[in-house]
This record gives sequence, structure tokens and C-alpha cells, in this order.
Amino acid sequence: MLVRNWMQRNPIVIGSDTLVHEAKQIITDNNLHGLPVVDDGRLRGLITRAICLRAAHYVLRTQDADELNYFSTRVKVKDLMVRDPVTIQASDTMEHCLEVGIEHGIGQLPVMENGRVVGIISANEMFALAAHFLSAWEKRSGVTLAPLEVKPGLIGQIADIVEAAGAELQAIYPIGKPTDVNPRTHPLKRVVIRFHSDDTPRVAAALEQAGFAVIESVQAARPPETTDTIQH
Amino acid sequence: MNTVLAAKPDEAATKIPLLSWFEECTKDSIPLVGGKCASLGELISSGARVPPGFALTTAGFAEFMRAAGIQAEIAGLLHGLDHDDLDRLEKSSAAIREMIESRPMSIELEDLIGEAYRKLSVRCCQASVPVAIRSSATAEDLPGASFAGQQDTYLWIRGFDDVIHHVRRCISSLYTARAIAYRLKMGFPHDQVAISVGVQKMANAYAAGVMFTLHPATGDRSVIVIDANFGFGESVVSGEVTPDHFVVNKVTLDILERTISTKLMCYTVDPRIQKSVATEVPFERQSIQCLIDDEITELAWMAKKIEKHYGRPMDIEWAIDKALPAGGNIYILQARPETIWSNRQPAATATATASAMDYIVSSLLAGKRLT
Repeated sequence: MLVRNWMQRNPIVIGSDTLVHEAKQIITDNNLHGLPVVDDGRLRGLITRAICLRAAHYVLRTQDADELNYFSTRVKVKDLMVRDPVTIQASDTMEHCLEVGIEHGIGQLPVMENGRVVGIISANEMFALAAHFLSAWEKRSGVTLAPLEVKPGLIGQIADIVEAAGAELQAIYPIGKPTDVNPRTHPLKRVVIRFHSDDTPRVAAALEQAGFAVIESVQAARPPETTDTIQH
Repeated sequence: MNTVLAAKPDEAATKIPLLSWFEECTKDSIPLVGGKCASLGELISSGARVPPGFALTTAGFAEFMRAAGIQAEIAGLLHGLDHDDLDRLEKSSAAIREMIESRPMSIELEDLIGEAYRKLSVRCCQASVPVAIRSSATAEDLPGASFAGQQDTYLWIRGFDDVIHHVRRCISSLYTARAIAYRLKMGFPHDQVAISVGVQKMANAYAAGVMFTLHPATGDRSVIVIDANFGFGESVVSGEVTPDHFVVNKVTLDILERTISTKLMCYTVDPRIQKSVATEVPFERQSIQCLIDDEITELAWMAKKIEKHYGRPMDIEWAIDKALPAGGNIYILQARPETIWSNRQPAATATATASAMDYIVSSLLAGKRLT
């Protein structure tokens, strides 16, 4: 799961001498969130939709024709862009990319390889990643268990119970807190279970019988014949 | 705000910031950011309303010179100059300044300044905020050492390219013919002088000027004297106009004296070209008072607070911003100790033959030194 395989390749880039209103046009036309700013092959900054909109807001608020004129004919990308932006390497893992994004509270990361911009990770790519992980289009049913210590054997035990209850198990995701960084301490984690089944309550009941506390239960609408029980 | 540090790992113990925000400066930062910026930092910590900004430190200046790689050439041009040989001085000075102003800045330094300028713009809620760029000399306070071109001030500079260009011009002001001649005469080594450059949000001044917390003509410490003109304060500082003149009682803040003069010109911004220009004051405004009385009172009150903070008579530059609401629109741009009267020995206020009561009354009138 490397950044290389998830990033948007060959992103549109612009030079720092471009006017901001041109940059904004490129961002809007291509439905982007940010543009890497590249001069002579070297990444110099990042200009985002939010930066452009904020600057435009400052200008419009003055209600001054000269200020507006200055903004649309003189302000360049180099005046507004964030310099020395946070980047990731194409060879980094997506986990690292997510960590960096959360640490800095940013949504656009230029992807570098040998000092050149080869891609970009933005909210679009993050949506794609999450959708793939949850197979959002597959419409799985699911059950979530209250926080547990995920020790060896637990996942297998859960898998056995779910499959014995007649479901086709697809995935089990233990979800911990960002503060629990040491897996050796077996921190408490909620366990999200995703499967195909027309009878989610039966799966939930089987899990509760085995001593697990069920905190969420979702029956997905499935395309096949039996579409009479829809729960959310 | 973070101080941006020099990125060399081996200098971890002695990291000197290349860039420093004014609020991180104090009166002890003169070797780092020069007198002007240090006093702005000190003013901010005293609670005065000062336009925000940052300084390229002397370390930043050294980094600029190192990255430009022109020290050897400069040394060559300066070699064997004589402080009386004005033609050669001018020629060398022009060559050096041309060299400094034409060399591209290193990417790291450019990014440092650019990022600080961007943050300043965001802070001021403006797309590329107009700034004043002024050199801030480290030796300004040495007696008679006013050589480092600290007169260089560029007003209403907007946009990253112009900021970088004028920062370079401030740096090159270290090599004016006058500065070189002075150093030759006094025997200062050329490679040891340093300069800092301040980049400060430009007050969009409606009126501006200077004030003294004593009467500059008589040394009377019971009054505050305000000189004001329309537009930026430069017209008052340079003496190009006869400003409006107010004398305010320091205790009661009453306006004791007002002289409204005919103000023919002022410096202000031409909004179309976004540059500072000298312009004629419209006829109907030439002979009206450029400040309202409330502003005069508030100025005097601020001067009083600044004098209290420094504990000595002060010479203060101020501006009234157009864009800010009344009651919060006065900016303090600079404060320096008043030197003419403060350095003078207090004259005897009572004759030797006077009675004890005469002595007491006269010392009450003249003010007594406590320290």
C-alpha cells in the first residue's frame, strides 16, 4: 500500500509568476483542491483553493475598486502560496501519508520522487482510499463490538461466530485511539465487522451470546431476491 | 509565532534566528535586529499598538552575503580606498550596490522571507499586505556612528517580488559612499559591519507625525508636543511641510496651544499604482486641523504611557490609520529616547542667595531627578 499506487499521477502544476486569478481558474476548472507550484522543476510551494478564496474574501470585504483591480491584475501565486510545503515520498506507505496529514492538519500533499513532483494526494485520493477499504459500493452489512483487548485468537474467534451465524465474513477492523501507539499493551479497540448476510440480527445475537457487547448493527440493502428487511 | 532557525544541524547549540518577529525582540536584541526593530519589540511588550512585522536579523544578513558569494569581490573593490577620494568611493559604492541588488537570493532565505510575509498578510487580513521596509542598524546608538544607512525607508511596498527587491536595497545601503567613507575614517573593518532589515505592516495613514514627551524648544517636561500632517509621517520627519503643532498638558491632557499651518503637500498612496507618492493637499483641507481633538488627547495619553515605560523623555512617531475604527486607529511606529534635552545638565533653578522656600518652589517647577 504505497503512496505511488494511490496518488493522482502527473498533477497539474503552475509557476510562481502565475496570477492568482489564473490559478484559481485552473483549480476551479479541474475541480482540484490545490496546485503544487513548481519553478524550473523545483517544488517552491503549494497554492490551495482555500488560500485563493480567503485572499479574495479579504479583497472583496474592502469594497474598494482599486484593491480589487490590484488583486486581479497584480497579485501572483508567489504572494499567497505556502512555501516549503509538507510533502511525502512516492515510496512512503499510505499509513505514513495519513499520519502526516493528521499531524499537520492538511489535506493536500505533493508526492515527491528524486526531488520532483510526481503526484499529489488530496481529499479525493483519501476518499478513494477509504471507499476501497470499506468496499463502499459492495453494500456490506455490519456489526460493531464495544472496545475489547484484541489479543491473539480473538479475531479468529469472532470470525468463527460470524460465519457460524450464516454470514459471509468480509472484514474485521479493530479501531483504536490515535493515542494508543504501542500495540504490545493491547489497548482497548472497538471491533468493526463487515459481512454479507440477510439476517444481521442473527449475527448480532450470536455475538452477544458469546459474551461480546454489540454497539452498532447495520443491515445493508442487497440487490438479490430477499429485499424485504431493510434496517439502518 | 515561531522563530525560524538556521537549519544547520551542527549549530544546534548556538542557533541564531535568521528571521525574528517584532514581538520576539526586546531592547536587548540590538545586536541581532538593530536599534529600530529592537525598539519596536520593546514597544510591543510595553503594550503600545504597533503594526506587526518581522526583521531579517544580522544572522540573516550574514547568510545573504555568504550565499551571494560576493564578499571577496566586495573586499577587492574596497581595497585601497581612501575616505577623501570621493570619485573612487562613489564608483566602488555603485558597483557594490549594483552587485548586491542584482544577485538572486538563495532559495532558503527567499522562502523564509516569503513565508513570513505571507503570514503577515494573513495576520493583517490582506492579500499581499503593503509594508514599510527599513534598514535597522546595529550601531545606531553609538555616538556619532550614524553611518549604516539607517535612513533607508521604503514605503508602501506590496507583493513578494518588491519586498525581496527592497530588502536587498536596504542591505546594499550598508555600502553607500558615505557609509564606506565613515568606516574608513573611523577604522571599522568592512567585513564586521552588519545590518538588519525590518518589514512592517504599513499604516494606511490618514494623518501622521511625531510627538515629544517634552517641549523640544524649552525642555519643559510637563507638556507633550505633537506635530502632524496629512498622509504618511515622512513629510513631517523630513521637514518638507510646516506641520500642525499642538501642545498638550501631560497631566490633564488639555490642549494648551494649537497652531494650524497651511499644509501644502503630503505623502500618501496612489491606489491605482499602489505606490507612495508626494501629492498636493486639496485646497479645502490645507488650512484645517488634520487631527480631531479626541485623537490629540489619545496620542498624548499614549505618549505618557510610553514615557512611563521607558522612564525618560521620548521622541515618538505615530500614524492614524484610515482602515481602523475610531478609538483604536492610532499606531505607534517608532519611539526613541529624546537626546537633546536629556543629555543636558539641568541648569540651576535658584540663585544661591534665595531663601529655602524659593529653592523648594523652583525645584518643584523644574522637576527633580529621582535617580
